[in-house]
Amino acid sequence: MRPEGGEPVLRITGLTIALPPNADRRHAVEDVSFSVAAGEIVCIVGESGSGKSVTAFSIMRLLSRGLRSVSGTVAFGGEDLLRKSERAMRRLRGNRLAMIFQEPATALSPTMTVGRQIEEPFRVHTAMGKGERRTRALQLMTLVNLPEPGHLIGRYPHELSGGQRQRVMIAMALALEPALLIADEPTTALDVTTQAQIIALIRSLQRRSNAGVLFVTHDLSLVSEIADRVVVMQQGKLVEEGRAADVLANPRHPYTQALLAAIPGLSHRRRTRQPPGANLLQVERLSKTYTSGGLFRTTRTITAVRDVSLNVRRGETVALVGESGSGKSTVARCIAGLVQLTSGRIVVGSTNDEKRSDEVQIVFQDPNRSLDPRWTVGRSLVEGLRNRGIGRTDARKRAGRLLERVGIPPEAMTRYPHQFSGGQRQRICIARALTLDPTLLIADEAVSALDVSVQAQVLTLLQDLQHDLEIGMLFITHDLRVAAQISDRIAVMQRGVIMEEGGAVQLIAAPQHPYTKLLFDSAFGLGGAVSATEATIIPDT
Amino acid sequence: MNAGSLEAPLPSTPTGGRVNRWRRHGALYAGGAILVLFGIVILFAHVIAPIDPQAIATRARLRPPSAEYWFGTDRLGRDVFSRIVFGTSASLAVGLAVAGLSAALGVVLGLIAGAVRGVDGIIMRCLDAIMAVPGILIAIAAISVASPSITTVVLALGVNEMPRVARLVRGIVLSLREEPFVEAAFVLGSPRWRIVLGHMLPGVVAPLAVLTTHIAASAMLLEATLSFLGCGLPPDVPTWGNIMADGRILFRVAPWIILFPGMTLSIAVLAINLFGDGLRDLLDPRASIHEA
Repeated sequence: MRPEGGEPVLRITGLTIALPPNADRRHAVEDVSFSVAAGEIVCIVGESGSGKSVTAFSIMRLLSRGLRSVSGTVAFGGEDLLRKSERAMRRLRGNRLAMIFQEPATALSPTMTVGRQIEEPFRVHTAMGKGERRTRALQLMTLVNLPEPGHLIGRYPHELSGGQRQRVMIAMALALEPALLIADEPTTALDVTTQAQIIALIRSLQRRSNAGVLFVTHDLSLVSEIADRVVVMQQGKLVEEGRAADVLANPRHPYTQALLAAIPGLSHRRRTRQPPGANLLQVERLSKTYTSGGLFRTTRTITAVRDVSLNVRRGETVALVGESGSGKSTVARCIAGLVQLTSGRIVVGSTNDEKRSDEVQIVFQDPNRSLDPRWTVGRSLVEGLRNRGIGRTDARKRAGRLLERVGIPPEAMTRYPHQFSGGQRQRICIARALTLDPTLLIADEAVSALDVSVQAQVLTLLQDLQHDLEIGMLFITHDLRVAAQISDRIAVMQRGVIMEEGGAVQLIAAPQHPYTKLLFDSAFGLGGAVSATEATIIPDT
Repeated sequence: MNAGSLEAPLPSTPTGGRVNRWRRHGALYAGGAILVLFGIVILFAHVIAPIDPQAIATRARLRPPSAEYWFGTDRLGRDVFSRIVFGTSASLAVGLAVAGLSAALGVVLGLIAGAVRGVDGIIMRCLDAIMAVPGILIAIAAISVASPSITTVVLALGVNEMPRVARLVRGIVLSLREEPFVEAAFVLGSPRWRIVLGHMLPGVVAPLAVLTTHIAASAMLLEATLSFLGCGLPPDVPTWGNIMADGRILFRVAPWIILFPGMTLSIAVLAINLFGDGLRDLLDPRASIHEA
């Protein structure tokens, strides 16, 4: 309990949620107990599958059908939520209990204007008139720093940016001043600069309303920014609980220690090695524009990438950093030959033709979709070799060796992708990319979809491979911390243009361009960047 | 940190889950069982049918259902039950052949339209044109131009159903084209035909299986409608539609001539649809992949 905190608004005791009989473990959540006091922010931290979101959803009683067997108590306002009728729960949801979801793009109804959605809690739970509802909605929109509320109130969610949509969600959640606000990964789907603003907003609003906040996240680095107390979950069990500062400074449980150690820091952890060799990749004034429209619509042209020049040498890692929509993936896809460039030149090694599979390979972001679900791992691995006309036996031998190199036993060849974890699948994808002996490996957000501990392992693997094979690597990422850790040089992209480029060490030490500075502040010092200006540094565009 | 410490070990191949999954698909079994029954009826029609379906018995005309004539007799004294038994093969054959034909044509056109940007617009507009005309009109027109035979009926109905298959296949191919595993295959140097046949076609199979069962069912209905209107198979071939057409003018006096083939048709269509729905539950990747 917090020393100054009063009665807890939420007290969970012995919460146990059983999984369906054929799942990989018996309980989604097992004997979890903790409480949230008024005016307190409690973070539940854990990796995917730890049961943190299930815990949050069980408070709202929004569990999926498969998770019906729930025991324990969830005490809220003196009553056990688990024993309330569905009707009574409906009266609480959006009223005394509110929730912010991870993906604002899907949590908002695409067919209703933003204003109508913000008014909805008033319409459902109060007897307010139309005019009053609209006034309150406008007030809420001002409160969450949405620009020009009078203008935005009639817009639809798809006309807003991700950050603005999440602000709308927050406005809805706070409409009736709930006693408890549950935020399930509210910033995970957002860019890092937007993330910092949303965190600051939640914190400042929570201080005003004195609500209890349960903040679910996989990102331990957020905990130091926002939490009073922290609850660490692993495999459905609560492994550590305490004041945020204490847990971060002196983690007692080995799992918490491992999680903390895996957070990529500012440290530049490149191993020492010989200086980079000959030029492998030369991109000159690359531009890519997309045109939409057609016979019955007006044509629109969107410039995704403008005049990007960049080079990668043998044995060198270049990170291309940018937020979503910055054009960094388009650059990667142009180099891999997946997208036709509009103008400019790409030379890889000695070839500059369209098909570059001999020289360039790519590892994609989502390991769940990068392997054909209907093919065995072995079949996927030999695909490229078979295309080169190499015999089945030789190809399988080579694939087996590469699998071992990435830390997967060769028996995996006969299994299907869904039988592996995300990290294992990404290792398989890396092995597949290496079967053709590429000289340049493109990693397109290759570790972004992985849990932080797995992310660290895959990063280490990539570094080792690159060192041993002396290949060049173009590392596309939105995460400056990862870029800082793995790369020799960093190029920062915004709106299709490279804003700044330089050696990783120099760039981290002294970023020149204001946008780079903002990115760095958001990534490395969430608090410092935001508290001074309280989330109004850059308006969402 | 030592590698692999936080990652799960290699999983074992699941076996128990599959048994459970089969157990949940009552619809598939019920539909399948009825279809097997129809299959037996086709194979042993001569044993099952008590009387020759063409045998005319002038003294036993328009007999209501009885122990001797289970489903009654028609205006020529032919046994309705025997005619239904012998009509089973023609009715089911039309359903299966139309499903097969439309699937084959639709898959080829859909794959081409989805994979080759240049011809996509041309193929799809042609298919739109076919879809713009009511199927039954195309069939009637085709049959009145050509001779009324089982081939003509199958061709007319097959071409008419084909755009639905092609649209489905094209949609799947278009969405699969954006999948990273397809892009990975491209970067690995796989030729386009191999990507289409190796990575995309298998993704089409499950939804296609479901759609074709529904096409088979609707083709049987359409065939019955055509025969009922007198523009289907020649009247001497016993099909469920022909039997009903025969009873059309006598519905008030001898409702059994329409009732029993109609019920048989409903049961067959229901069985095929149940089978298709069961198939969808079984093959839907969202249902077959365990939630993490």
